[in-house]
Amino acid sequence: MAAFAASPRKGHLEAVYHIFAYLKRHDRSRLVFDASRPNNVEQSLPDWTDFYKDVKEQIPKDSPEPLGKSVEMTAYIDSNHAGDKVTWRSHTGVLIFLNRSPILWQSKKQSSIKTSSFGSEFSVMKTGMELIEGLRYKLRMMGVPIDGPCHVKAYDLSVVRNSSQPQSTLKKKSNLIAFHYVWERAAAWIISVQCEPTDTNLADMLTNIQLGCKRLQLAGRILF
Amino acid sequence: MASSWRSFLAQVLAEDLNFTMCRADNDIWFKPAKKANGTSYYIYVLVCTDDILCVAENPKAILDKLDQHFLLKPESRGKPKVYLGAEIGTYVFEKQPGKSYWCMGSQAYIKESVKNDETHLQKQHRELKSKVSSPLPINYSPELDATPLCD
Repeated sequence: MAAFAASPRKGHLEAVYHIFAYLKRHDRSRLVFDASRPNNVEQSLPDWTDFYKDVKEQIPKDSPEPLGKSVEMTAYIDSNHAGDKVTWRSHTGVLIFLNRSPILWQSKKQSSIKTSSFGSEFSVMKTGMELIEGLRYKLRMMGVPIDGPCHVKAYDLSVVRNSSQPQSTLKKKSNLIAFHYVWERAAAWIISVQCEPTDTNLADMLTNIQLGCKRLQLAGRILF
Repeated sequence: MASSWRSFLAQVLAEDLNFTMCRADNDIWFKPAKKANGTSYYIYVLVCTDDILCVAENPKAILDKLDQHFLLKPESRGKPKVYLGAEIGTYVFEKQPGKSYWCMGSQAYIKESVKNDETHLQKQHRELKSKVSSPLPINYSPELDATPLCD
């Protein structure tokens, strides 16, 4: 709603009252820092040595020795292709967990217009990747041990399916670069991409308005 | 003023308490330590100007040392209740009784802002809708809204 703060309409004001009415009914929600391990399915490292050689994750040289309990990263990503019905821009949603605690999230309109949902999904992947790498760097600099790659849960099957074929053809340069940016990181075992059905993809909350029951079901997994 | 407070705190943490500043976030300080059971771990001190949170097996020892340099409010030297305006508490899952986890919320802030909004609406003889189950009405697209502009 803040996007309309410059010239708000009466309907926008009503929508803000609607938000407060929602908050009034849901004023006890809390985030719980659940340190238990998520049930992520272990996947094998895809063999892309022909394509990306033996690319590896860069560990900062000046990072302290990791001590204490390790954490596992999980990221839910979702995009709402052409969600804005005026500018036809897509929406990005990223939600990152450390073990079972929600740590970092973003819900934002994309800065460029994508002609395909594939393109918007890759734009989200790229944004997610930057957040993931930033968080991994920060954790390493804090001396927190990270277990394995970040499990990235995406809905769009075409993106997930493409993980098995790094040679797949892409016609748009922006998509192509985002594609290789993401899959080089998959080859370096920084991320491991899996499909998450839209019904259980938590990032769906950040890109779409949902019916009460579905919202309750998704929000019930992070708010208590 | 702000920078001299910051550098003084940094000096105390680094020189007297042997903490290292995290290079990825200058408000995080840490130092290696051993737990009572012998495992190695890091003690963390999180700083946001004058809001300080200490994460350690025995945080009292650190806070006592900080107290020698700064005057800490006695009531703020216990388990954290509020940090950066958010309420901190513990939560126990129904499925795992006996195990509690930290949780964070902003109930007080939300209650206060809802109250403000209600007083504002009362002046127009209106009230907030009941039974609202999503933050925005389903199928509402703010960008398509063609109602008149606000005065």
